Amino acid sequence: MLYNGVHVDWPAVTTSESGFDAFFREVEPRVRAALCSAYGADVGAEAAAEALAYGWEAWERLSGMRNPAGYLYKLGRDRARRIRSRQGRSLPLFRGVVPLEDTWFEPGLPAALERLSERQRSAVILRHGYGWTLAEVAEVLGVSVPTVQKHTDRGLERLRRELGVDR
Amino acid sequence: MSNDLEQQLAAFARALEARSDQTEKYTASPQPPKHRAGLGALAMAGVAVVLLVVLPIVFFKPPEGASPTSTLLTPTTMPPTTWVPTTEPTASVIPGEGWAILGSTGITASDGTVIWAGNGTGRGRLVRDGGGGLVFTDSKGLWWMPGDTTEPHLVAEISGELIEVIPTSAGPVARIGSCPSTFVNLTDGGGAPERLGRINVNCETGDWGQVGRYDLYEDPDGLIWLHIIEFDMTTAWIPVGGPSYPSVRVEDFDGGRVLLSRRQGDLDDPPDDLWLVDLHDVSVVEIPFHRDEHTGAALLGPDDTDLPAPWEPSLEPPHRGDRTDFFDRLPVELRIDVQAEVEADEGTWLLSRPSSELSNLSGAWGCRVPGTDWCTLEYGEVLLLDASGSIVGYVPMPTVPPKWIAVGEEYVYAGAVGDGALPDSTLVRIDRETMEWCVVVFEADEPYEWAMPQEWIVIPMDDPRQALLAQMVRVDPFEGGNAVESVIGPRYVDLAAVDEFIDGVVGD
Repeated sequence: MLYNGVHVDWPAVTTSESGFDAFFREVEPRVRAALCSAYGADVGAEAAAEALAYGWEAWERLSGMRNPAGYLYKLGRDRARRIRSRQGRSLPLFRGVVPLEDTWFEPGLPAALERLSERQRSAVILRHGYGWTLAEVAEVLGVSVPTVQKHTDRGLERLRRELGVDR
Repeated sequence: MSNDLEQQLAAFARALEARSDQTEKYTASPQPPKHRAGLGALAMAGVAVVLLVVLPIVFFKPPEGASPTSTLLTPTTMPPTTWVPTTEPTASVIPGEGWAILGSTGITASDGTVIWAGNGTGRGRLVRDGGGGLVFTDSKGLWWMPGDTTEPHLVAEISGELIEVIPTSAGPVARIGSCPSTFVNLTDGGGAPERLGRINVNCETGDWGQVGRYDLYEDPDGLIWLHIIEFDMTTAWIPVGGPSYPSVRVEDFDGGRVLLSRRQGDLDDPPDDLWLVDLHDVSVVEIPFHRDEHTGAALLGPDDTDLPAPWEPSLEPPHRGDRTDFFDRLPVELRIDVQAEVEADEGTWLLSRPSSELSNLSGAWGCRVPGTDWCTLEYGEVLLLDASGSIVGYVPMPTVPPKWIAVGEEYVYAGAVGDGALPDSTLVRIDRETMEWCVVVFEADEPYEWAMPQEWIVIPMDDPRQALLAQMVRVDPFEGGNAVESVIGPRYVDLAAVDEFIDGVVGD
């Protein structure tokens, strides 16, 4: 699949009779990861669920779109912003996100990520946390590859400064 | 990137994923998702029950003894056994795109095609039948022109306003009269059981809205907004009426385009004008319309299945001005007409005026932004957009739209240069980090203070500091002057002098 002129390795979305199931299996983890990166696990997962529910209802329309994952991400983003607005923005985004067994990250990392701009946070976590390619991040966020690169670079630079990590 | 930070981010992502797995997820299922009430769900029994509960006035049978507003009389056609909608009629004279207008001389398409030439009186609305055909009423009754025919035929002698045509497996059903409604099967002219329609009519006000898709909302200032909703997601808020045009109706909506009519009187009057709003790019086109000849209009072609992008509100800008929530609701395509722009690390800074399409629409509310003393056309703003084009900050500038802008090391600078229409000049300074702003107005005429946010600093006409402006902002290059982005020809601004001046004024 070509997205903004860049090859993306994800399988093409099928439009067969069971198209939504295949689409769901492939797209749900991506949309959820992108929304959780931007808005935290709780809000992101809820927004992703809403967006995918919409996808089920509107599958006929959605399946004809060029970038249905990106569209669902935007719908989820709209939902997530409303949820955040309702909850109040003082709630930490990454509440309850703690290192799993045998892993470690700075206790200040979640707060430092939260202080990044929404786009920088998504780009950094998806690119360097989940290990997605720039093109994969660009497709889901619905922006160009250079934009992802810019936000990733700026976000990392700021993280390094805040956490006192050397290059 | 250091391996350490990379490893930490990978660990963080795994933890994030684990946390999100603990949250309820939507799983692909043949069952209808919960908490949804969109169009696709309308056919679902659960949602139908919800609608019947929510909208009893419109859809429930009237109480015994209630007097209907319309009466079903004699059917004039024989019923076929089944009806198959003709989505692409081969013999149709009805174009597959554009729109059609109904009037006393028949039906004409936007490309000039005369769909049907027929004199008549008492004609009202024109409605698509969902299969490529058109339906309307006149003083004789209910008429239907199926997509594969060249002439309409009288279906039933019935009076009342045509509200909508509902596609059903037994053929299209016309809904006549709103409170209550009578339902007529177009294929046989006979009665049809009461059905769920899409149109919700408020029996007290006569206002219409399409359940789950659009609504017309009047705010406390009398401004009428068209609110487009798709599956609970707002697609757009568009101001379409107001004190000058207090009556607005959606004539047709196909998912991507809205055809609406406005009236200076009440909804029983013939429409004064027609507007076509394309939600994909939020373009607004006024359709030539002759009030004395035309009574209704409909879009042509099938429904639009390519959903417009959802509307994105401005992101809680830190500096709201008086009544700028009006602009916050607008789609960016209506709000922003870029006058000048400069790039910075934090995004793109713009000088913006309302779009010309908003200016056209503003005739509906007599130009002035409701609740204010200033005109839509006198508005300007300094905007900061992020890489995705979302507004992340703005400084509203009613009555003094800025004409030049420059990015300095710490601040963004902008200013208005007074002219005959809007005589005041301004200097604006915005902190790039905190978005704190300062606006200084150099008054050149009668005070405009009624339009100004209270925080603005006014230099009165007789204040000797007025002379400083001409030293700081000049047409020709000068020592210390920086070339700035300008919409009124070259301008050079001494940014250091502006800093010194504003610091002094603020200090006062």
